[in-house]
Amino acid sequence: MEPDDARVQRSGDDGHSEDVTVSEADVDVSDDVLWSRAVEHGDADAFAALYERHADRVATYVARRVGVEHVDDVVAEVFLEAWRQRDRIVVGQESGLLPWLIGVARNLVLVSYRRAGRDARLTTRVVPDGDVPDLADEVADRDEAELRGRQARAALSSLGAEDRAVLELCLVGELTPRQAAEVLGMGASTVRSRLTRARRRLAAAYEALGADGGVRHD
Amino acid sequence: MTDLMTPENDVERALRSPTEVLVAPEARDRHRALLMAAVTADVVEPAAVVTPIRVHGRGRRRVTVVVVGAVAVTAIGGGLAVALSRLRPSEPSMIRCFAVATTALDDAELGFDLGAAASPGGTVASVAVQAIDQCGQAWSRGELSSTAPYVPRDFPGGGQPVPHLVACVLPQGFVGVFPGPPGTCAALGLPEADL
Repeated sequence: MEPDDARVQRSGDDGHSEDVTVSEADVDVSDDVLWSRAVEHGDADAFAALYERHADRVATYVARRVGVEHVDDVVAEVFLEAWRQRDRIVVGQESGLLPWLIGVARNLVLVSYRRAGRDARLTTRVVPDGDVPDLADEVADRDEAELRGRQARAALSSLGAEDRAVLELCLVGELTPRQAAEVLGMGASTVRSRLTRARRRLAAAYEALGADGGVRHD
Repeated sequence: MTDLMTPENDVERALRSPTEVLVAPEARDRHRALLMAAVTADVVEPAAVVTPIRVHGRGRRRVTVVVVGAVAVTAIGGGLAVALSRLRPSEPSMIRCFAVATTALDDAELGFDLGAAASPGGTVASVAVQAIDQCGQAWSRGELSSTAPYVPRDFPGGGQPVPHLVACVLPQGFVGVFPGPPGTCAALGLPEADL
C-alpha cells in the first residue's frame, strides 16, 4: 500500500465488509476535477478513484432493477460505457458524476431488458410496459417481501415513460431532482412536479394490483 | 437541506430494496484494473466483461473488452461522429434495431450482441451487413413494428414485411439499424456505418 493511501471499511446489508484503498489525495477532490484529470490527461488513477467513490451506489441501483446476481458485470459496463461517452458527459461541480452513472445504468438496464426479451429470470424483475402479471395464485408460495417487490416493479412498469424515468432516477437511484434534471435534460422544478404526480400514480397502480391490501401489517 | 426523496409507503420502500449493495472485493479489483487499462489505452472495443443477461434465443451475452494499446482508434465522441458522414462503428458487435427512424423513444428498440461472431478477424463490411440482416430477421418475425407497440411482446412470427433498412453509427459506437431510405442516417444526425 502506498504511504498516502487510507484504508476505509465499508459494510453492507449482507453483512460482509471490506477494506478499500482510497488515495488520501483524492478523498477531497471533487468529481469534476477527477473526471477532468481522467479525460483530459489520461489519468487512470483519477478514473479509478471515481469508480471507488460511486461503484456501490451504482451496484445498489442495478440490484434494485435487475437483481443482485447481475451487479458485478453490469457495474463494470456502466463505468466503461461512461468512459466511451466521455466526450458527451459534462460533470457538474456540485452534482458530480453520479447522475450520469445512474443514467447510464438505467439505459443499460432498459436495453438489456429489450435484449433479454422473454427471459423469465429477468422479467421477474423488469416487467414490460402494460403487462401486469396475475399474481393472485402466487401469494401463498412467495415470500412476502419478494412478492411485494414484484408487485412494486409491476406497478412501476405499468406507468408511462415520463413517470418511470423520474421514479427510476429519484426513488430507485436516489438522485436529487437537480441531479435527475441533468440526466433528463430538463429543469429541476419540472422534475419535482413530475415526481409528485408520478408518486401518486405509482401508489394508485400498486393499489390497483391489490398489493396494498394483500399484506397484513398487524 | 437534503433534497433526496424519502420512501413513504410500501411500494416505494419495496422499490428501494435492497438498501445497499456492495461490489465484491474481487470484482472491485477486476473492475479497477479494467477501467484503468481502458483509460491508459484510450481504446475500448467489445470482446470480455460477461454480463449474465441473456440475448433472446442466443444464449448468454458475451461482451469482451479488449484494450488495443497502440492502435489508437478512439471510441466515437459525439462531435466527431456527427462531423463524419461515414464511420466505422467502434463496437461493431453491438446492434440496435429501431422500429422507427428516431432514437428518442424508449420502447422502439431491440438490442442484439453478435459477440464473437461479429468480427473475429472479419471486416466492418461484413459486420454492417450482419447488422442489417439481424434486424431484418427481427422485422420478419414481427418483433419490430412500425406502429405501437413497436416491440410487441406477442409477435406474430415469420413472414412479416421488412422495410428498407439503413445502418448508422450511434453515439456510443454501436450499429443502429433504422427503417428508411438512404439518407436516413444524415437526417438523424448520425454517420452511416462504413460499409
